[in-house]
Amino acid sequence: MLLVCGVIVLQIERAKRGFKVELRRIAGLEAMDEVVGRATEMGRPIHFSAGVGNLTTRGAPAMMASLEILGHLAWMSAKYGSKVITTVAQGDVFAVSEEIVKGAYLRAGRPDEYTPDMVRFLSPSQFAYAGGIAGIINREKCAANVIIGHFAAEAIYIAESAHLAGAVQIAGTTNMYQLPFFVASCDYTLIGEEIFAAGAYYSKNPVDLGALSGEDFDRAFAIVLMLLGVVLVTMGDKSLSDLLK
Amino acid sequence: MRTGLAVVIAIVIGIGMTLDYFVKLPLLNSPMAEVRNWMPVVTSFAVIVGAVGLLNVHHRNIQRKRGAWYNSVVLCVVMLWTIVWGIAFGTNDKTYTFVFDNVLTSASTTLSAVGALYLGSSAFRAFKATNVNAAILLASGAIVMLAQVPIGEALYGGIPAIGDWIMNILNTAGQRGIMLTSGIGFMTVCLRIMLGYNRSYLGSGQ
Amino acid sequence: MNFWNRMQNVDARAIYIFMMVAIAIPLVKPIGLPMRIMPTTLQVYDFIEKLPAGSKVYISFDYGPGQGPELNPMSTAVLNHFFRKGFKVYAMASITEGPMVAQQMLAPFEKQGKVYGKDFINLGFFAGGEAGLTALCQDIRKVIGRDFKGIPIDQIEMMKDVNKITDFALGVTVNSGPGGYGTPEVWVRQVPIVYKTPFVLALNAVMTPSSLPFLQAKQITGLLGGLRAAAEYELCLKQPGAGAALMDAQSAAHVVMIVFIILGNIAYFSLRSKRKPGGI
Repeated sequence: MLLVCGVIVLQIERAKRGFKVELRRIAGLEAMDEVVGRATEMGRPIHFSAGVGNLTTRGAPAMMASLEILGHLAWMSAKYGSKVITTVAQGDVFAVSEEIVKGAYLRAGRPDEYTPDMVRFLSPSQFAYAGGIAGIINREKCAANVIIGHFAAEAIYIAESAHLAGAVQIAGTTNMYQLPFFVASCDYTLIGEEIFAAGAYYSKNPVDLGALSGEDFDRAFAIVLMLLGVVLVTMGDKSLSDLLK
Repeated sequence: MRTGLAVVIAIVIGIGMTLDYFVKLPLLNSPMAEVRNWMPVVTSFAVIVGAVGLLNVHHRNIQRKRGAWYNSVVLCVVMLWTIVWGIAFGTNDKTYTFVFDNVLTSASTTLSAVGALYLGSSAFRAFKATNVNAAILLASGAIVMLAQVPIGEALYGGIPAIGDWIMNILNTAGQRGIMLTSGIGFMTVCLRIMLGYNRSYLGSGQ
Repeated sequence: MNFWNRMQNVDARAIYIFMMVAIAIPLVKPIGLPMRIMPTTLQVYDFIEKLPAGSKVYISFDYGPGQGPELNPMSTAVLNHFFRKGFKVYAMASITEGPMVAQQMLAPFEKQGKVYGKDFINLGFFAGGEAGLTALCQDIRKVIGRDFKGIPIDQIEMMKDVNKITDFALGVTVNSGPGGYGTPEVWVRQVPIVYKTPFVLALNAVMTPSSLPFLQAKQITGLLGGLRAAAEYELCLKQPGAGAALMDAQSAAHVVMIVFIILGNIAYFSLRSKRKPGGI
């Protein structure tokens, strides 16, 4: 763990000192512009949901990454005069989302266009939450549905009802068992850790870029460790696998 | 000042909790155990924040008679009744249990059932053999679907074995890959929070 | 517009109607297809069967009523086994709706003569998600002071000598992956990995593939996945119930979906060949 964290910190420091990090194209993140543009042209709002996770438990990292995307989306919507409706399922996420959307409108120079109903707490109950989102997308005739965060069984419900309403969709989650539903129903899907790249993708902040670069080194290290482990276990030596237990 | 204090608290608690997992040191373990004991209280209050926000939004709908505002009336009445009755008589009360069994259970089950139908329509749209990868996905998906139900074995006795092989070997390998990379991503986000680089939990959007 | 054109653009409602009819028919007129029992289900059954009578076991109801149709048969089958073996059953939940679901599941056993406080107890909801679970594992009383009925747990006979998670012979979570609370990964991370105690995941079918790595790495004792596992468990207990009854309907639903997918692909290929030069 020290090695993994050390590499990340090292890469962050290198990036702050000018080390260039190249990012590959991630279709779902690039489509955000298209989504906002479409909504602005049609004069219809964008729906955003970070899922049913909260900021203190297992879904927290995905929720944090999702809130970074909300900040960018809200800022772009404010800049182009579009409306973003954010639905949340947890109280702590509600408080933070309100601040993010308000701050985004302030940064875009349109604080008077922010209204409190842009962030709506629906329910911590999965299906009540999904039902609420389906209702909002249909009633408000949302042009786009951005659902990135921590999702459980309600994922297919949200994705399919938005598809039937004709909204263009960008989805992403780290929950492996919900990814297939998003891939089947949505126009763009961010798979697993691609959602963590969002902050770096939009801000081009050296700290975020450095952290991403550090992750790549860690991934390479994990692959080397796995290959070494496979070779050693095949040869009858379990010392490495016992060490890592 | 307020932001700075919040960041310092996040850093101290984050590092403390991480070290607590690996280091046996009473000076560290006791305060962290106490912090963990306080977590349920903090998360419970977060529910109250959300409920107040919800009532706020719907109360505005009712005041301005906006859209289907009568639905907001129903929501507010039911929500307030549930809270007041639950606190006054407990969630084990007969009336409360009746409402849970006959309203919430029925409504949730209905939505869940609709989700199953949505799955059918999205599978129909998505499972087209447009290229080799999609064809492999389609074939393996069909085999696993049949392996999960008795009719698969009735059609061909080898389907359960092939389905099990796909799940235990191919699927598990893929799941492990995603788990590993997501885990590294989690660690990175948490490390950035612990080092004070990521402050999205403060609502700054940065 | 010919048939294949219509098939390519079929209205979603047609799929819904076919699926609803296909599911309804076996519910009214069961077919009774034979079913083999998977090794994963047998693994759980055998482990529980070997535990001595009077063992203390906990079962966490981490699903809402919406997931009931899939997970209630599994909960009922496992509870059946627990009570048949004479275990002391401690119900709890990491989500707010869980305790009410627990009450629904335990009520029939109370009617059969099991005594609350002596044979089973509903400890209610513990807040805090993963942090709450960590605290609960170390000292139950730090997180749960009263049971679901509001009785202080120190006044309950069953809670004597039960202080931490290692005081139980087995733990089960019946889980639908509730957002933010006690998901399967949270339970695996905090209970069997840390305390090396026997632990079983009972999940809905959608989550089973992603939990197989835990079973293969021997981090959990067993894994029950979906309605199929519930039906198999009922067969192990020689007590067919809702799970077995619903398997025919699930078979029909899967067949309908596969037929539609095949028809959709035939439509796609036949229209594609017509569009190519030299096509009809």
